[in-house]
Amino acid sequence: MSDTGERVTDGGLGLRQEGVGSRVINLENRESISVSGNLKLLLFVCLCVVLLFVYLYAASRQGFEINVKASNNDQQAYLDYAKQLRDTGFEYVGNRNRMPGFPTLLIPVLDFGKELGDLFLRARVFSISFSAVLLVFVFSTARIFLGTLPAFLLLLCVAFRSYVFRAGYVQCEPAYYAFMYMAFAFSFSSLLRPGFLPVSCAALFHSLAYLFKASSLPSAAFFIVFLTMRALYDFKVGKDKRKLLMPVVAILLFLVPISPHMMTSYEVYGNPFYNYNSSHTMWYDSWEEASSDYSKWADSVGRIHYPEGERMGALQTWEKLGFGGIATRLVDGAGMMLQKSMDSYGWFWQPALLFLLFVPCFFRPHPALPAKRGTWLFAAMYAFFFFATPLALFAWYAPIDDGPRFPLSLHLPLMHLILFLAVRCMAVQTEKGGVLPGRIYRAILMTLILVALADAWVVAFGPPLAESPHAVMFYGGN
Amino acid sequence: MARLFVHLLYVLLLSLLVFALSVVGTGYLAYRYEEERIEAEKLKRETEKRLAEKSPAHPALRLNRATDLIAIKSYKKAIEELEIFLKSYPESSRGWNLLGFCQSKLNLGAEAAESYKKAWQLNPEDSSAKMNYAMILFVMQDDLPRAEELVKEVLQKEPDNPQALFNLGFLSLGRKDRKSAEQYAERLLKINSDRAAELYRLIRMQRWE
Repeated sequence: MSDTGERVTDGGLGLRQEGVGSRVINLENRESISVSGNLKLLLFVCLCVVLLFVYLYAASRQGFEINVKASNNDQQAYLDYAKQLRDTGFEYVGNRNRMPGFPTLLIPVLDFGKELGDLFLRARVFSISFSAVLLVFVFSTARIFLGTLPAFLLLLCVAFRSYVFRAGYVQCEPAYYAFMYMAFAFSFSSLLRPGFLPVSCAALFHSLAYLFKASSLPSAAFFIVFLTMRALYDFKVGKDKRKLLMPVVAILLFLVPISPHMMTSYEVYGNPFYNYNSSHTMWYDSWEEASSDYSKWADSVGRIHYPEGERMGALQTWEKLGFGGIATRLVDGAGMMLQKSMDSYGWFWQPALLFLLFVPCFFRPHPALPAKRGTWLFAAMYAFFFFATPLALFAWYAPIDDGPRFPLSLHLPLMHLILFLAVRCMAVQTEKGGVLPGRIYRAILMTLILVALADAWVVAFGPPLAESPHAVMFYGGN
Repeated sequence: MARLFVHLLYVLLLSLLVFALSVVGTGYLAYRYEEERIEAEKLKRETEKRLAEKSPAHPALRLNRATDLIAIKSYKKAIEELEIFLKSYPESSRGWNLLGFCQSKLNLGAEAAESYKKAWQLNPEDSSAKMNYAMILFVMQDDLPRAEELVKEVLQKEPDNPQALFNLGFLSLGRKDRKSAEQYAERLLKINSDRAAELYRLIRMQRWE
């Protein structure tokens, strides 16, 4: 036990957690709950209920005061997709610009509660309510890996600096952010300490995220690659044959839920992972050019029949731009994206602030790290590629669409990673009576939570943020 | 494993509870916002009605009413409003222009041409009236050269006018000149991608020999 009365785990590469007050929240080991623990729990539940209503109020203001037209951005496209799926009995293919996950969820909304309001209104009510459920999933996941207080801090940050602005829009992004985060958290954890349960969860959440947005594919690929490397390493070091099965399980659990979608893509487009953006738009210099060519050459299901010599792709881009041109586009794009991220709804400063605050902790490495390089090396490489690949892709895509909604998908995983490292480093230092006693650790967390609560209050009861030019970009495009 | 399922069950139950609470809470807020919106619209209509009673031919009122009716595609009623308005204000180019639009929507081609012509004559600087007149000339009287001439005059004055580019693209289709149509579509794409997409759609739909 630490001097705060909390149980602190071994530096934590698994599921053991420290919890609120004297209560230990532990999937493997549950202790009796004291009276003060009960009181704290009750207060915590009350606070969560109040925050839920504050969140709903703030999201409704954005959703019903600012977002008043279904034709804004691609909201109407999602509603139309849902109608087409219902009317064709899920035969509708779309053009693989949007994935079928979110439109499928919208199908019950098409006919339910018609007397209460028009479809767009009902869809916004659904989106806001669904975003609240997603936040429950986010909190539950964060609590497994971070403990209750850091998870609560993470919840406050994402609820009131990103979800609240996006929830009222009938778009897939809130669901994609949540599932992608859960996929990252489980993948990272399972690469640190492989087990069939976290590996299965990681694969399933990757699969879910893919059904909402195809951008999750690189992360899934990296997870499987590094999991395979980790399994081979464990086999070499410890002759652990069981772990060799894990990549197989991961591949199966990732592919099975998305197999109907993959099969249709293969039949119609000749590629099971066909996507409109990666096969067409991203090779252009502007959205207008890509749309123009698509309008000219696409058939009714969105297959693009390029005329001779007009094909766009990686090879053509290499021939056209060369190494220098590609590097320039990436650097310029990164600059544009950074500027947009800094100018958007304020989420960018949260991970930046957390990083600066906890940076002293990172200079005191985990004492177990040098001895067990294999336990963290693959997770570190996965985390590097998880962040670096989309950042490079977003930078490349910036001339076409540089909306901050793209880097925003990294907000939750980045916050998680910083908090995870900070909590683990601090937990070790606390246990060993190092530079950061438990009281200071708790004080830092409580102060951050209070700041986040005050920020939530400002967002909820301050003036609603009208769609600024950046906000239009934020929700704009496809 | 059993504990994990219990944990999952808790999360699912909690999610259901949160979803139910959220639907009720957000539904209530949506209802309030919708009520406020309906109330504001009702107030606007009542104010308009009161003003109309006091000054039946008030131009803003009649024109506004006609514009509202056009927005909900009630062209016949809009024509009635515009006719009353134009009796009091026969010099209004905008009034004649809107009247021409409603008449064209009801397939009253000859009347629409007359109205557009009047609108253009009353205000030769009104590019919208001029283009409407040009397009009705093409549609009703098949006078493609005159129509193109008028729209090109507009484009000369306003090189970035998206409607002029769209109309010229459309007129090029009338001449079966795909190349020109595509050139106009490309120019339009830089200004208004939605209209450009519409023009590309028309180009694709055209049967080329």
